[in-house]
Amino acid sequence: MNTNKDSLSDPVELDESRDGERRFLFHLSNDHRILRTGREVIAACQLDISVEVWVEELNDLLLSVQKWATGQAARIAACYAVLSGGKVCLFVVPQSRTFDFDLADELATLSRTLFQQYNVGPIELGQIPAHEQDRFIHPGDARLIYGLENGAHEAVDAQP
Amino acid sequence: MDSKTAHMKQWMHNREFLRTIHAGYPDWAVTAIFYTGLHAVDTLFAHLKIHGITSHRERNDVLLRTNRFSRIWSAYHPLYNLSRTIRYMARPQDWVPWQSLEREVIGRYLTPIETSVQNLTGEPLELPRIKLATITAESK
Repeated sequence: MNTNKDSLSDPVELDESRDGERRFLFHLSNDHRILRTGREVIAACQLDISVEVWVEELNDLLLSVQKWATGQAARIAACYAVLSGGKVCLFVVPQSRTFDFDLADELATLSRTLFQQYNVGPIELGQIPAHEQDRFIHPGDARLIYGLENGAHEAVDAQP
Repeated sequence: MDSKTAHMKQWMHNREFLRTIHAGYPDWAVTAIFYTGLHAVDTLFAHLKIHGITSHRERNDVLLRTNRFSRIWSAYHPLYNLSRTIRYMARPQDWVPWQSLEREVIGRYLTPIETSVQNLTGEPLELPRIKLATITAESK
């Protein structure tokens, strides 16, 4: 019985629903190490690019959105990013209590720009109201990339 | 019935339904407006022999990636987003007041989608203006 051979030939399974938030440490032959979540690994595999490249693309995208949101400060209260179901979801909270139709037009344009410039897979962009944002965002899963989180603290940089 | 005819029939069916929605249900009105636009888009896809689209993601992807559909995307994206969120809200009337539906959601999104579809198919339709129910003290 060659258990060693069996264990090498059996694939190691990564289940998004179970392992999405689990962290994986990759040991590279050049002694470098890469730490990524299961969700990040899956997203990179879907695009057939390395995890490192995908994460760099994602961070560049988030910085770009942060910069865009800063230019729309009169309209935007906050912006969150969530990785969900193989998509990058960007939730924009407008300053207004009602759906901002002009901002929605800007988001349609932004969606096209992001698609053309960043290879991160499907991106979903949308507006959500401040008073009901907990219906769409779980605080533990979302990354605040612009604005104030419930008015409690400053925005964090879009960094890994 | 071929696919194009079926989608066009559903497009008109949804248009008719919009007139029957009682004021005070902006969430369902937005949902119906969105599906009116969706069937208009699917009518165009059937006309252009773009087949095999079975999900919102695939439909969105074609609209986003195809330059000749850019005008449709500009109107479809906000409508898609709005319909995806409003149905989960506890107080949808606060997010999109009924009074803004005709001018903003139909005038700004559905009408341009329908116009682009007619232009791209080369088949003008005499679509009647959609008139939503008037809000009354009872429906507030």
